[in-house]
Amino acid sequence: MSIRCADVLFLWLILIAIPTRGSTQPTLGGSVEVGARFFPSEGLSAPQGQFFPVFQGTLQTARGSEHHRWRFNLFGRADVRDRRSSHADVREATWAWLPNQTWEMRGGILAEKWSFTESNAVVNVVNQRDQLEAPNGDARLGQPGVSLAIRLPAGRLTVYSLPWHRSWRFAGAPGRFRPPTELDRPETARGTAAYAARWDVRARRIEIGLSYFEGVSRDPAIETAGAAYRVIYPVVHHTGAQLQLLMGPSLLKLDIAHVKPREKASFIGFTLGGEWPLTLGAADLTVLAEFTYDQRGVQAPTGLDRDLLLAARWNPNNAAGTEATASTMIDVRSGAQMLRAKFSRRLSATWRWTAEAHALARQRRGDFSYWLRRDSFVQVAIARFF
Amino acid sequence: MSAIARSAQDGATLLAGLLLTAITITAAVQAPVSPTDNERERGVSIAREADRRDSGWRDARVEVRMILRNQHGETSDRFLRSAWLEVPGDGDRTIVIFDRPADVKGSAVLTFSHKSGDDDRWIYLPAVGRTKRVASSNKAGPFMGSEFAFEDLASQEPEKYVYRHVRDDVLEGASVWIVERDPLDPRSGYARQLVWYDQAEYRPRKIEYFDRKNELLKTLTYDQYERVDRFWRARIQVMVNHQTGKSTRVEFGPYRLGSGLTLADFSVERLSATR
Repeated sequence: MSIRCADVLFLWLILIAIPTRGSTQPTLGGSVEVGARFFPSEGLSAPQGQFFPVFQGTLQTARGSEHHRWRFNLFGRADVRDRRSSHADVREATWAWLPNQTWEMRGGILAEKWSFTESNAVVNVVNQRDQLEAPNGDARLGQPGVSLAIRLPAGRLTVYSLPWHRSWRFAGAPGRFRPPTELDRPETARGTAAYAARWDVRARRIEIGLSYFEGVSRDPAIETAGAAYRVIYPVVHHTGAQLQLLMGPSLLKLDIAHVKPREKASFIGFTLGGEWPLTLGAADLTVLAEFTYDQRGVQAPTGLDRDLLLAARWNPNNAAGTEATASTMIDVRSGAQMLRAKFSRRLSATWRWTAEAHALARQRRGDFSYWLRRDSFVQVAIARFF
Repeated sequence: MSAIARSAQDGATLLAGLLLTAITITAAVQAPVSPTDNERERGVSIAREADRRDSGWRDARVEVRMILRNQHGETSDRFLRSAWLEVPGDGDRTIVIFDRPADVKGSAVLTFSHKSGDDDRWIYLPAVGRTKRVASSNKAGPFMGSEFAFEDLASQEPEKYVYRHVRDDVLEGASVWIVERDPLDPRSGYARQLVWYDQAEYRPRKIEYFDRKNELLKTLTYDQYERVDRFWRARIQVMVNHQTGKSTRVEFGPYRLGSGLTLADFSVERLSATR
């Protein structure tokens, strides 16, 4: 957490503590999770460990009144083997002012997820990826900023000012999910502001979003410079569109983006797919299929350029809240695969245990994710929620 | 014929009569039959009047405790908060916010019920930080592992069923109508339902749910009715699953009606801010 984030957090905590007329009592929740993560393969470099205790936690609090809302989400991980992997991040700390049913203003540390698709997020441009939590593709760092939303006769328009930029961060020498050589420090100034706008509208069977972003890109361009990698965060004009259609019980989804980096050629990327729910007695089985295309090919910093996701999510709707997912992400060009399985079950009203396995197979030299080829792992953890 | 023999014969006649009546009633209750126009009209008019009497509360809020009991008698609790909004000309809008179990704390489900077609549903999961559209398929699926299916908790719009008045009866000393309602939705988990409405206030007192094989699946009973403004609300609902032996008891806190909630409070945009 940067000092600036800490300042914002402090101010936010003062705000939430101020009693306002008609406000509700703050709600408090979160979790503490302990477990073990084991990598069967040795890392690419000697110091990389194979066994890592898991110790992580979340804290959420929220409060509301007629015209004000406060929200605070904190995530933290302690890594006894790798100091750089130990980190805490304010995922969200916002104060929202809702003077009437037309306007809404928010400020603080924002969390914005615009994408409809699951496997990639070519349209999520506000929040930076949390690379320290790399296996969890949904993990995003909090983004300082303010937003102003207005309800229009059709849909809603939101404009954003995002005053500074956060870069990718990787684990230290003993950690995993990191490139084999140190990435150089990005040259981008943190104070570089970005601006964004999004219009979204929904009807019974369709949801549409159109977005525009101008500023320093969240995704870097990574160039090889001899044995090292050079990280450049270009200024980009990013235009995105999101579409979700409900067809019977199925959801069809499209996220598409056109990106024009300054002084570089533009490119497009999209993720197209859907989810199909099936009923098996009391249980739900949801099948997902998505295809991602990125015109940059192997230069795409997500490692996803022509990749197909096939996944199944099983939920027996039982009292223990059992959930199981299995997925494979296949690079249709190289044949590289990432297989994931996760099982989770409630032990009591406050305890839940989780087992998961991630396996990388057939990674080819030249793929961006080639450096992750020995980072298959299994993890078992138990979480106490409060 | 001796008095004893006559008495025995009378008894046998009476027994046969009772048996015949019982069979007739059982047949009437258990087998779906083509309703006559009169039965249909009476059924519809009872359901519409019940719906009319329970309209006009504008919005409602209540805290809920669900006690899930499995076939071994073990129990687990669910705590949630519900809010409803009446929408003129359409079905109700509902928000359910989960407080316990702790791993789902802060999750919220928003449902737009419609008089015809599928309901629209979105879920906000704080762990993911995203509001997600729920593809509505498994209406018959259990809600949070309870004996209530999603469709049991959805707004019971009269337009979603075909009705038939079965017969008048007495339930716990109160005169009732038994009305059969058959879901129009082919994806409903039920072939039909039997609703016991009390004749004095048009309140549902009991519902029997028959599965797709037309076998008795569950019974819902309403208890501890109290008047809130001019509307009746049951403080206790108990759903018993006859096929699994499991049950769910729902205890409602004090209802707050007409507290000034608006469409904006039930919007997808603000679901993530609902607490």
